[in-house]
Amino acid sequence: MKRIFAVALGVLTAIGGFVDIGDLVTNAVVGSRFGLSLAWVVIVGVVGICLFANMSGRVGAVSGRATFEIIRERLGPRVGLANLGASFFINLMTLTAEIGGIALALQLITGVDPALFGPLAAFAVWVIVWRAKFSQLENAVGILGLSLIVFVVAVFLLGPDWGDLARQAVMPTVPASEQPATYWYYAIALFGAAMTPYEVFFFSSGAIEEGWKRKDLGQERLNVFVGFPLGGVLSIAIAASAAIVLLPQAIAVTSLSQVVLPVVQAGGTIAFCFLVVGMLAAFFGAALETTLSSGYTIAQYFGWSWGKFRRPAQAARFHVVMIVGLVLAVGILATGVDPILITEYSVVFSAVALPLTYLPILIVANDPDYMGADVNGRLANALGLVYLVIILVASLAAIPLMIITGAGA
Amino acid sequence: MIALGGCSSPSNQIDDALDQAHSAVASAASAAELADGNGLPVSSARASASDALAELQDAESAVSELVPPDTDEQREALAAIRTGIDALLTLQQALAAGGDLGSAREQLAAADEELRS
Repeated sequence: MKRIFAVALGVLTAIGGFVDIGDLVTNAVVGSRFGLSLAWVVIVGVVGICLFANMSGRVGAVSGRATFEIIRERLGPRVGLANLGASFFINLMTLTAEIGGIALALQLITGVDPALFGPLAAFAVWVIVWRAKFSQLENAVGILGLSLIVFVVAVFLLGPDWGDLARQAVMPTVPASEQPATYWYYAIALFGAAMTPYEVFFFSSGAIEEGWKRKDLGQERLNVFVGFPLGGVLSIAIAASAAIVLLPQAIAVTSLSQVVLPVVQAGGTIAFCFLVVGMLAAFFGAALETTLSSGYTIAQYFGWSWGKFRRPAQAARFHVVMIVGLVLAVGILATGVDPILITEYSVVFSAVALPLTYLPILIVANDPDYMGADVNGRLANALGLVYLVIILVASLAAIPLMIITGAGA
Repeated sequence: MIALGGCSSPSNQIDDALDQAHSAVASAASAAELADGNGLPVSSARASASDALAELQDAESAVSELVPPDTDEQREALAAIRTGIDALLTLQQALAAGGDLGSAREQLAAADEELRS
């Protein structure tokens, strides 16, 4: 019974922890402008993150080595440092977006200026990272994040034309009001939102934090291959709710307050309550994960002592890096920059930087020196190579498309 | 973003600003309707109004700064956007006062109509 509970908890946490502000905003923007014609990208992204997370979790569990330790060892210190710089920058953008998202969600509840909530949210993240156990923080935010299932319920309550939604998803076309370049720009943004690098740093480092061994790989696979696809269903439901309510009114999502409208239209105040709890949990959870990831990447690269399983005094530099990350995020938000804009850029830059972390993991997952008998199988390698091509194309096309489309304007 | 979008023609930039303004007014109208007894808390409606106003002000400054200035198209677009701004200010006042949203909703509907035409 205890074993079943642990498995169920892992899967539920993976579902609840799948959506962050990048997924929420990007899916809502895409739904309000393109309907479900980009739903196929969510599926491609979910398969990709399953593959990527499974490989990195397996590398962590089998080799006992964390992602950035391996990146430095395989690529050398110079290339590894460039990789670290890019990864830390993307991670900082994502952390800033998540802290800003918490502030915006609190504004929806209180009506108070979100600028006041940024420092409070960052302080709360620091306290929890400092005090809470790894499994506690992972499970609590994951379970509360399940409240976002309200998007799925809302889609049913809105009573859409299912045939029309299915046509949009199965026979995707570029709407007449949009340019093909903009369509492909948002395809890359959605892909980047699904395959954010911090999720992999967190997942692989988490495998070591929780002391995973070979025997835990079954649980790891269940979390990834059941939890993440169900999380992908949430992503599609977010886009669908926007497609049903906002697209016909020509409302293009530019703020979090617009994301709320379809859900409230479907389910009133109760649905609103579920939604804000889900959003707060999702953004708070992702803020915890990105804060930890900033510490993981730098500490692992420089070979410092790291991890929540150690007392803070035993991993002082790891904790200092996290504090610096939080202070930088609050500083960026204090300039008055729109967190939604940061989110939109962060998912695109995630796609740009993705090959830097994907390629070393793919190489190590095939290296018997690290993995012994647990190297990638044929299917994993075939899929891994297909995704390497997709990731490279998305990475190379992202910046030119950003310039051509005026960042998706 | 402005720099990235700076290559399009003035006419296209006016169209983009009007689309942005229409989207903002429509979302504020939707928020006002939901706040008027349909489940949206006033705090969230206030956030919607504030976000929509920022979008309209952004659209207004984009159209105001166009070169060449003072074309008929620009003047008409600015007038429509400013009608939207007035409607949003009325909505904000009504939400702050906790009173009837009927008048604000009518103004938003009129602004929406003007922005569409």
